[in-house]
Amino acid sequence: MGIRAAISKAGLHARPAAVFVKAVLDSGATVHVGRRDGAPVDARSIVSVLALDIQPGERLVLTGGDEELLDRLAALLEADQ
Amino acid sequence: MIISGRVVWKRAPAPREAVLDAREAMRRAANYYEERAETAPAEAAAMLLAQAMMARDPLLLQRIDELTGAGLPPDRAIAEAAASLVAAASPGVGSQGAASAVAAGEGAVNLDVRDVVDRAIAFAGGLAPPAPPNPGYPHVLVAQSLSAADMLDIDRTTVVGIVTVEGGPTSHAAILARSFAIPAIIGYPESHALKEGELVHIEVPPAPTRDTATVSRRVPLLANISSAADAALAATVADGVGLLRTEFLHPSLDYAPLIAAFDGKPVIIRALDLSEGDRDGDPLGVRGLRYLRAHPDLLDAQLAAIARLGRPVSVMAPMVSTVDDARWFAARARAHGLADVGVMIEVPAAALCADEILAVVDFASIGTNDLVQFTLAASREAAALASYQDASHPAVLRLIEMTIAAGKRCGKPVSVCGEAAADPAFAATLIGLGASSLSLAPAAIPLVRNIIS
Repeated sequence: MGIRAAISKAGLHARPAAVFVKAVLDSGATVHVGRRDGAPVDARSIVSVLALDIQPGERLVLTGGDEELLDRLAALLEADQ
Repeated sequence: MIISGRVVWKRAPAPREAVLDAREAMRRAANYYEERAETAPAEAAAMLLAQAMMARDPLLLQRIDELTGAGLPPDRAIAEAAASLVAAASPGVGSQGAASAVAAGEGAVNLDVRDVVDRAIAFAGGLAPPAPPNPGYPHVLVAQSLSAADMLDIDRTTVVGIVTVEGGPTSHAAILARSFAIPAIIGYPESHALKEGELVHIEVPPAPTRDTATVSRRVPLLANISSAADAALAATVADGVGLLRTEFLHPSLDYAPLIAAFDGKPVIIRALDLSEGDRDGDPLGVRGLRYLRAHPDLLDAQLAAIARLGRPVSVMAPMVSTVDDARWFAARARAHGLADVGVMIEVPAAALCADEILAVVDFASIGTNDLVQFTLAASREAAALASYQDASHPAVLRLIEMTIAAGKRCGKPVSVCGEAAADPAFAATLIGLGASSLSLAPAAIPLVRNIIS
């Protein structure tokens, strides 16, 4: 199980959150996402991810899945979408 | 500019006893968003598909099952399941507080999630999804919040302004109001005090001044019309008709009533844009001028009817790909005594050969919708490709620029029609590139005129 820090460039509002959660769901893996100092949520749940109310430029922590998946998710978050 | 109108509130429907179970209601909500996304404009489609994902959220559905299993009715199970996920992600918000916030439409609960919950609860109660009211006269629509689906449901011919209690400059209501050119005040908490039927005035600040050298030229704003209702609205706001879509009148050839209000003004009638088979055929198939070349009698009947109008009108061909297409159409139209003959430039090949095509016709009109679809090889019907439907993509802008430059070289007008011209910022870009006129939906003309003049 991996752990990775990433910056959400666009923030996790509806559209970027949908792209992120879809990548998690498609992987079949269990991944959690949260702030460094906050409780993580299950990243398969878009309602939970939206409730984090992540603003553009916030730093996040991803846990679970394998290194390759975490690399891909971090790249998605850091892309300017 | 000041917009005035009477207040009409969008209120939540009264609760009803459930007729569907909670799972089925969520499934209906997801289907609803997906179906709406299929026909929605690009930016709205992406939002609607995100909301479909919310309605299919596996954790949310699992929580709903637990709550219905514990005996809660569907509406409460849906609202409380959403609230418990929200509460778990936002420490400090109690589950009770969050539940009432989701259900009552208050607080910091994500507006998209709340719209999903509201619609699922409406489905559970056997109600149609809550749509904005339409009193049938010009009005200012006021709501607690408006979702992407709400925005698609509003009647753009009667809503003169929008005010919401919640939301911000990046909320869906704000983004879509901008693209529909409807003045909007989004996220104005004091607006909850507005009374139904009260007359309100919205002051629309002037747009930031752009390059005055490029916008000082007065560019006619023409209307895209396809019905008597469009024509009536256009008569009050447009400088003429830049695109009369005849396929919506087909098989009638009686165009006189639609253009009666435009005496002495430019009117461009587009020849039938039909597809072999049905109206929604393959966009790369036998359609537009290709269809007319296969059915010349249909075109001749239409050209004869246009010639009989007994007033100067321009006529143009849809979906022209080659110089030969343009030459064929021009010969046919001139044989009927029509003096001003043009073509639509919506195929990249036509834009790339604009010099040669303009040599054989009198004018061109760039159709941005198809030009984007063909240039980016992204079907307008594919919701997943919505982000590609961008008229300001550099490739599309270059083709537009090339076509306008070709018109300047040979002294022939090149106008732009298509949805993109209804976006004031893009309209200013087109004028800056040298478009001779813009043609857009009549409802969008006042704001574009206000911003570019």
